[in-house]
Amino acid sequence: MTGQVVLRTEQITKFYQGVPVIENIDLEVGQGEIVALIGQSGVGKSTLFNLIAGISRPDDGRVWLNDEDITAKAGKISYMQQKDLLLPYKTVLENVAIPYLLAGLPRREALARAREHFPRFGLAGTQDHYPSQLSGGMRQRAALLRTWLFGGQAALLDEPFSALDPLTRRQMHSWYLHLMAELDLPSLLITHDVNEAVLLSDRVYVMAGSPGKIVFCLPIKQKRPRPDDFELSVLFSQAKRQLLEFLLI
Amino acid sequence: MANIMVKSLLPQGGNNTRKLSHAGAARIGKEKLYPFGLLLILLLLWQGVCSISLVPAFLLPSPLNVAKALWLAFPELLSHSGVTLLESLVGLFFGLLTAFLLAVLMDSSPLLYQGIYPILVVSQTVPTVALAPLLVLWLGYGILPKIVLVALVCFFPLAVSLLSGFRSIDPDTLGLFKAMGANSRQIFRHLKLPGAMPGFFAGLRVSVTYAIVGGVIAEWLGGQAGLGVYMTRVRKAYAYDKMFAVIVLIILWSLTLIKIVDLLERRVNRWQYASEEKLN
Ligand SMILES: Nc1ncnc2c1ncn2[C@@H]1O[C@H](COP(=O)(O)OP(=O)(O)OP(=O)(O)O)[C@@H](O)[C@H]1O
Ligand SMILES: [Mg+2]
Repeated sequence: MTGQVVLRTEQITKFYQGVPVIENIDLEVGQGEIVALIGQSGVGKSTLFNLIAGISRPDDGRVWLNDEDITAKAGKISYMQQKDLLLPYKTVLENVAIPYLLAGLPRREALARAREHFPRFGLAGTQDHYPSQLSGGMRQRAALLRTWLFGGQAALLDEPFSALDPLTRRQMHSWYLHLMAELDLPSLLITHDVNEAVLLSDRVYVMAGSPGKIVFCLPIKQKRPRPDDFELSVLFSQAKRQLLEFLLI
Repeated sequence: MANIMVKSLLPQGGNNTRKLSHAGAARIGKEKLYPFGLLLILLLLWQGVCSISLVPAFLLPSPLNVAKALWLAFPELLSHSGVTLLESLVGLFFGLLTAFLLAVLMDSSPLLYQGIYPILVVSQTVPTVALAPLLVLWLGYGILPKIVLVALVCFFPLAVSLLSGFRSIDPDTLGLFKAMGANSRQIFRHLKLPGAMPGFFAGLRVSVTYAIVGGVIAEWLGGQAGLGVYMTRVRKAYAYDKMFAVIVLIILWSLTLIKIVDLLERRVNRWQYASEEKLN
């Protein structure tokens, strides 16, 4: 772990209709860390994110942001959901500026400030288009920009790249790593893809079972920025093998 | 430095926004010709039937006679139209206002929704036209009963379309807005209201035609001016050509209002036409 813990969940448990979906989830994200969370479909990853984001209330346990108890408090953490959720009737610029508008900035200023970040997110020239006119990769980057502009001290990203074709996804990976090196935003990232988890993160949690529990936590020792051939290294394949063992129980 | 690297790594094609083919543009004009062609054939048939006197001329005036009547009575019809349009638009406005307020109210509380919705639906089985004589009885022969009738007729499609629009927002998007700390006013402003617009315009398109017809029917029961008043007068005089002329005029006014609604919709729901606009 590098530096101090920013986001921490403590013994989080959630029931749906009397049945536990996730149980006693403990995890933490440190300053500057990218942490991946992998697990099979339906294990309760998105459920956990909704709890951390404060949209729903855990039946047991707490969520901490630095030293503040943010259990069931929405509006503290940047959250990018599984779908991009861009509003079809707003332009890309208006969509991206939503966090500023919700914070009460005047419309003109909100749009102007959001516009400044378009080039860095590879969205230059798309401001006045509607989301339906964008490619999948661009929509995803717009959603990511909106998430970042929310300005939380940590970010939750629920399968940010899973909807993309393999080639676009690879490009997004390197783009994302460079962006994170700049932004230095502690992030917790859900993925189904073991490669993606090892490639992008400093630490990987594996969730499994019913109810879903954290069954394994693996630090990825390679420092970021990582060499281009990291995927071909022994460290990479060892990490992958260890993770797969726990995933496929 | 990092910025440059980020840019060079971007997926290719910064502006590869989806483009529509041009093929559609030329065909639209042709498609519009078909109904007009059919209409022309029907008019010719009608004219033929009248010309060989299959039906007595005073019962079924020929299209040419109707056109002539419309032309001759046009100044008079225009001033009557003004009265009817005023009643229709003012009634529509109040119908819309109540529909909007009620929809917002019902959307804000599940209790109100469950209480009011069944009543709202049942109230629609009341034949509004049958209320017209009562309205005249209560409110006199002035403009007021006409406005009230139009408002009543327009109210339901508007209320239902707005309400179902407000209630059909995507739960995930709602979650996103809550995660960003949005309050209920902001959720209404950014999600519910714009989300309800496509359905609302469908309701409005129905309502404007209801509004004109509602105004005309209310005028049948009495008044000083208006297309409905004119209609009852020419009916009593057995001037069926003028009767048809009024009907044609009512159709034209309805089409005009629908066209205005369409233009308004194109402005408000601009995003739905975004790819079409890119063609220009
Ligand atoms: N609102 C809800 N009410 C009842 N059950 C729910 C609800 N939301 C999720 N569940 C159940 O909780 C379990 C976990 O769902 P969740 O969406 O968190 O899984 P996930 O790990 O994110 O899956 P995926 O990888 O497919 O996105 C599932 O079995 C799902 O059916
Ligand atoms: Mg999920």
